Amino acid sequence: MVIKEIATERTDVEQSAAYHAMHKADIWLLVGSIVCGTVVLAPVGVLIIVIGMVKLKRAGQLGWIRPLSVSLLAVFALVDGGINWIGWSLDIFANQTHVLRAMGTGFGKLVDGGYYVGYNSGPIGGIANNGEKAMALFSVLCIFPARAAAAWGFLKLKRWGLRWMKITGWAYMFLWIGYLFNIMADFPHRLGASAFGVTGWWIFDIFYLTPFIQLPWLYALDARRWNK
Amino acid sequence: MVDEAGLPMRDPAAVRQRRQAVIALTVFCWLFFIGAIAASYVIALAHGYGTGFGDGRLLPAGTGADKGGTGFLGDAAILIGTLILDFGLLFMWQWLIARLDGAADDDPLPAADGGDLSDEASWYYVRSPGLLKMFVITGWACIGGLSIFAALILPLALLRYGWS
Repeated sequence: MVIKEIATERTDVEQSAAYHAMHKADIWLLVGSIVCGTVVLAPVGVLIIVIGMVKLKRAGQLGWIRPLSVSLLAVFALVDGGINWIGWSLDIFANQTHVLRAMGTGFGKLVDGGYYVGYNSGPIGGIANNGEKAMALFSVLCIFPARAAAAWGFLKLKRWGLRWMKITGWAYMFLWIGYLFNIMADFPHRLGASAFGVTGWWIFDIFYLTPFIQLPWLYALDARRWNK
Repeated sequence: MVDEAGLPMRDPAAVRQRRQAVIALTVFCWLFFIGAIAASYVIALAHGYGTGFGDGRLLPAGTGADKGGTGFLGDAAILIGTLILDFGLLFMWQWLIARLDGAADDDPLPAADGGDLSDEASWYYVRSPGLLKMFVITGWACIGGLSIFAALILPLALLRYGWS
C-alpha cells in the first residue's frame, strides 16, 4: 500500500472563502433551528433551514467544507433539541399563559390526556403527572440545552461538540426508555384519554423519540475531524 | 498518514470492532421502537381499546378546563421570561462544556492526519454507505415530521377546542 502524506492546515482552511461562506450558512441553520423550537413557527424554521442548506451547498463549490450528511444530522439535533427544550420549557414556566393553556390542553385532548386532566393542578403547574414533570425538568434544565450547545459546537467541528453530542445522545436514549415506561404505566390517563389514541400518539411523537438513532451514527464518525 | 485513495489510515481491528458496535446499536434502536410500539398496542388492548386511532375516551378535565391567562402583558412577560431563561441555560451549558472538554495539555486535540477532507469517506471511521443513507433519510424525515407536527398542534387545538 502506497502511503502518502498531505499537509492540510486547518488555519489555512479557516481563512478560505468556502469556510466563511459555510459560517454564514451555519447562522441560517442555527436561526432556522431556533425558530423551529418555538413550535408554532416551525414551518418557517424549516424554510430557513432549507435556505441554509442551499447556502451550504454553494459554499461547497468554493472549496471543501463539512459533508452535507454531517450538517444535516447536526441540524436535526438542533431542531429536535429546540422543539423538546423550548416546547417543554413553556409547559413548565409559562403554563399560566392563555396560549399555553389553549395549546397544552388542546394537545392533551388530541394526543396525550396527561396534558389536560388536572392541568396546572400540581406544584409547578403544567402537566400534573409527576413522572412526566420530572422528565420534563430533567430535559429542560439539563439534556436539551446541553444538546443544543453541543450541536452548535459539533457544526463548528469542536472536539467538545462531538463529545457532548455523544454524552447527550446517551442521556437522550435513557430518557426515552424511562419516558415510555412512565407513559405506558399510566395508559388510561395518557394515550387512552386522547381523541387520537395510541396510533395518533405515535404519529405525533415518534419524531421526538427517533433522534437517539443518531447515537450509532456519531460513533461511525472519524473523531479526528473534530479537532478544534 | 493516508492510503492510496487519500483516506486516513486506520487500524483494521479497531474498525471491525467499531463497525460491530455501531451495527448492534443501530439494530437495538430499531428493535426498541418496534418493541415499544408493539407494547403500546398490547397495553391498549389490555385496557379495552380498539385499533388505537380515534377510540380514545376523553376524561373530565378538572383544572384543565380553565384556559384563562394573566392578561396580554402578563402573558407576554411570562413568555419572554421563559425564553430568556432558556437561552440563559443554553449559554450556561455552552460555557461549561467548552471549558470542560476544550483542548488541554492532558487532553490534546487529535493531530492532523492528512486525510482528503473534500472526500466524505474521510469523515467516517466506519464507512457504510447503506447505514449513512439510512441516517440521512431518517434525519430529513424527522426534521420535516417534527416541524410539521409541532406546528400543527396549536391550529388543530384551536380548530377543535377553541381559543377560550
